[in-house]
Amino acid sequence: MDAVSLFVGVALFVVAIGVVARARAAAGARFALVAAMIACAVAFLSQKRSDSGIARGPRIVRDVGRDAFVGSGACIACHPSEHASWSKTFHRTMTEVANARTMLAHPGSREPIVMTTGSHHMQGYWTEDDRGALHMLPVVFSREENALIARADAFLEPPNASQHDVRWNSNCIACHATGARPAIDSGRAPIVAELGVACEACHGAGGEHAALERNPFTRAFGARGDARRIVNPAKLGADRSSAVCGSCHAYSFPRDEEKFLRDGYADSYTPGDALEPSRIILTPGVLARGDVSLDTDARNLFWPDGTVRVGGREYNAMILSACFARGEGEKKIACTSCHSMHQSDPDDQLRRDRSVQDACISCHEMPRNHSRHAKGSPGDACVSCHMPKTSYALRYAIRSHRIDSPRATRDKPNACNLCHLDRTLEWTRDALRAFGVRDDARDAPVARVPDVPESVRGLLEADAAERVIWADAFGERAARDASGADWESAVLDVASRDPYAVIRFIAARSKRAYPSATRALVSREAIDALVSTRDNRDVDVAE
Amino acid sequence: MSPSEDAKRIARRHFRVGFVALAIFVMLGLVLESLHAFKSPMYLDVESEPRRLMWRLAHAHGTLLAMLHVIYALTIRAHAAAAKPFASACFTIALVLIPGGFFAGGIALHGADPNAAVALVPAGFVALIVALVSVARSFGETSRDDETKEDS
Repeated sequence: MDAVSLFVGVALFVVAIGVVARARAAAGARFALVAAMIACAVAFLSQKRSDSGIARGPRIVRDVGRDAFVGSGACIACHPSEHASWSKTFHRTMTEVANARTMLAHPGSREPIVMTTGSHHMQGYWTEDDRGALHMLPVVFSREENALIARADAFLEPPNASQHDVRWNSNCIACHATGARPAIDSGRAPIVAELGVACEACHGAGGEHAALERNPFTRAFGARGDARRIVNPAKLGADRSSAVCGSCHAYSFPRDEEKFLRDGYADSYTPGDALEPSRIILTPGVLARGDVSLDTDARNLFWPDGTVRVGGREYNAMILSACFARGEGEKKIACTSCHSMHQSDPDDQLRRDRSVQDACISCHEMPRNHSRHAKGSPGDACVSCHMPKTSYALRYAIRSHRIDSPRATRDKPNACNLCHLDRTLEWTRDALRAFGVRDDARDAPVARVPDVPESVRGLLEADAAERVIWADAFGERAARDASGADWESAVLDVASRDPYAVIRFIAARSKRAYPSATRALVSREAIDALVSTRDNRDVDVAE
Repeated sequence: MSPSEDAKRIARRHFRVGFVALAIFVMLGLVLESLHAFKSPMYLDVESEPRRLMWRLAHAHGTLLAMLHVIYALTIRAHAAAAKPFASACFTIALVLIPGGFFAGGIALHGADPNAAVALVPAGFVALIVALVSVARSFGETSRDDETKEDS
């Protein structure tokens, strides 16, 4: 193509010179014109070209055209607004070739950085070894701190844990790229159709569809529906549409591990399919039966009631909700009940056309004073009680997607005490009983240190994955307003010396919102007792 | 050849060049429409954005410059002194280089950039500016001639 361009360019210039030569004008004028034209062209060419950007990408073959993938670039011709809305999401920037445009920071590295992952809260950096395997640098960029931080300080990792080698090819590739074939132990470089979560991750390979739709007569008069050869998650039932999201947002394990390491899910799952034929959705039961062996304790992944503790795995939680398990047809909850890929703010991708509250009341009639909180207050929102922030990822507590009702147990941090930080679990049990909601007296756990607010117990005594949730809860404005702000900084001071770097960071972040303590809600002895009985089991949540 | 015959010859040439070029660049427009109709990846894919821009510019500039040739021919009919061979050559060069540079620049792409053939475009604009200044000056020269005649 370059040769054709060069030929056409030279031919046009020769024609122009010929026209000048034949013109009946003074030789000086003709010479001046040609000289000015050449000078102008040369000056233009000597300008610095825009950074088309890529010093060197990873060897991952971006093999658009394989497996009928066409890449997101092909979709824009017919779907410009969808392409534009997707382009604004963090799904698109999930994985990118490293260059001046995509890198939020420039960590020093002996090996060249070839790729980045993440861009919303943090960005990780990857180098490539001789065999094409990608390894994560031990530092990540934190957008919140606007600085490079140690990877060990970004994820919930035991303080004495050795820095393990994070390898993209065997793990991350399946969800951080589209149309991935990891090709582990094959001697070949892994293959992806596109880096990042692109159109075809949710709509399926678009080759057949694009070929069909390129014909204007087919577009005008052709068949509709399935014959369009593309999956539209918005038109699938709740099960299958949620499975599209769950193909990445679920804790699962491939049914055929060997095949997965070779081909990913490229041959075993297409959007619109059920997930179960290609993978086992992890639950405490599955892990207890030994169907799947993981190199982490099941208690790190699931709360005692079976709810997933790890953010980004919302599918595992949602399918346990009555709204999903018992819902039917239009009344069955799906990810798209609240979220949208194309009509949403990129931060949480919540639908613009209706609120989460509206999603709830589309099925549930709300009895008067159902929330027992002032109308319009934070406690009046459905999600405050039914989707408390009990999962954790990337230095934040995230709403549990198992939609259930508050209970005064220690199965997981309860919604009431996540706001009412100054109250004990017994207070919550009495309140729920008084509301006639539930009587959890039979399940009431015995407190090792009595008469301590549940939040303080969780912050100082529970395991690391629970402490981090409570540390984040102290930073919530609604919790501050509900609990007074004159006692918390004393306990957050103690949490700021937690053995886990992430907990120290979050406790310090929460503490910034409080003035110095003027009231000792919890005695020094109680605090020491809680710290001395702390659950020091190693917990590793690398999400 | 008398000056008026010379002017008629230049005007005829610019009518001819103008209408032929108009036909060519209107046809280019039709081709671009067809690339849209068939959703051609080499024209519409994200990676083809610079090509789409270059070819649209070639179509737009080519059509406008073709019309400028016709306007120049009409100008010569109304005002024979505007028929300058050098200006005429410059208009023709601009018609070749500006749309030609845009079109050739979009054939092969270098990331977000067109190829080096796009450098013909500024060269073409130099020729166009020379032509326009030359025609503008012809009106000044005529006014001075008229004043001289009136004085004598």
